[in-house]
Amino acid sequence: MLSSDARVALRPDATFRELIAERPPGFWRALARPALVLLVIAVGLPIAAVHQVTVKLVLTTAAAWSFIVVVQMAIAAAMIASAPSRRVSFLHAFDLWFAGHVPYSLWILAIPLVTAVPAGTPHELMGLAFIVPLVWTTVIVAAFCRVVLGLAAADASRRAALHLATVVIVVAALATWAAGGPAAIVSYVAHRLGRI
Amino acid sequence: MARTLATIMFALGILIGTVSDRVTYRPPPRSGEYFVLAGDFHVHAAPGDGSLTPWTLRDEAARRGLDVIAITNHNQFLADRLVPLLSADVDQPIVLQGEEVTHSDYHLIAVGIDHVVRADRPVVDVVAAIHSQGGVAIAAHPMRAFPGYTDAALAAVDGTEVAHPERVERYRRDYIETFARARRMNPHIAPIGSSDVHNTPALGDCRTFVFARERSARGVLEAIRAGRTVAADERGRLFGDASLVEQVRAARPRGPSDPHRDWRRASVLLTYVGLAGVVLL
Repeated sequence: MLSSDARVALRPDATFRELIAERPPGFWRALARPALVLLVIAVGLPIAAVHQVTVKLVLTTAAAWSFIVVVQMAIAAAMIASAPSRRVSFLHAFDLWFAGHVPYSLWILAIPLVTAVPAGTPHELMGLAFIVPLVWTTVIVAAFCRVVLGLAAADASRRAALHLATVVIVVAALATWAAGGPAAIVSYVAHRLGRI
Repeated sequence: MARTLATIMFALGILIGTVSDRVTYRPPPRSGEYFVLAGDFHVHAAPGDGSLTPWTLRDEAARRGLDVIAITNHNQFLADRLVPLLSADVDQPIVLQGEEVTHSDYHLIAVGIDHVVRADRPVVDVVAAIHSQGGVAIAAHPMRAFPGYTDAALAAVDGTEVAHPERVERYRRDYIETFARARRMNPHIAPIGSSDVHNTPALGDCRTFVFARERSARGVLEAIRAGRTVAADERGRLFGDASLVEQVRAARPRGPSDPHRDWRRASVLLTYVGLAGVVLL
């Protein structure tokens, strides 16, 4: 009943073992999962922001936020290319890397639910909730490294930690840029804490 | 089978949303020699810390009964670079370039500028830099915690946000007190209502009614400089000169328009459930 992506989220090791035995995807098929991630962003954000969804909204939002998927693709490429012991082709591993998207996709799909509550505090709540996909995806990445890339458990854990650090740095850099710089972040946090 | 059904729901949802999205911009009412324009001068956009691009924000502004919006991301101008690419359609809301000049001591909205204003100076100097570009400067959510809003700073700005969708009542009182303090030093300071929208459906919840001689960027900026504005908060309270407030009430400005609400809701539900199904099933 559940998709292979959902099963990766729930039982990553066992599901990755099943998926590496399947026929490897072609070039275009390998882009299907990144496209699904972009679609989740391009639909979730407009629904949250305007409670509306149209072709124009989806296309312009996809264009504006496509860099997120491009960054993920670059991280995936670096992770896979640096593991010569991998058990499948590069394209197959690339496709399976994006099978781990469900935690972040669920986080994005939760944004419209939060913004639908008038008295909600979407920024703070979603910021705190971001820790869930962060940790959950680290577990999936570790399983990916063990099963798909064929790494020893200790090496897989190191790579998962490196991935976690990379994501935190990228997200922090983006948030700092969008907020107007480090001083603006400090000021924002100080004002929020001042409310307590 | 379940995934196919989810895909059909998703596609149907987007189709219904697209077909039922008939937004027509309604011209603003007039009051004497003035157009009564509804504006939101504090809007965050993508790329930046807003979800939506200037293109889609303009459509949403039309839905929300706004005549003018300003893109005001923090200390950056990337989304503003897209504004000149918008079609020059007179039957669409005006989109102005702007910035939320963000400093630990103050946040200051610049509207009608054409390049970024650095946030490394006191408010008075930043206001001068904004004026040198032909823009107007508006104190953004000026709570007491912002030490940058000295008397000299408030005397220099063109407007202050007196209506802002703040959840903390203490801060709402700060905005009103700051406006009163600014008015004592500058009787023509413009009361401003802004949504400060990032990624929630709040565009225009707080808004500014602008008494403009012409429906253009120039007309809007001139009216703000002259203080011919009325701020409205999301609770329906109006702030400004009593005579202008009366004129706003008499002009009965348009509110949000949602002619196909049921279809829009059905579209969102189908799309959302369909997409969740595609991800999980």
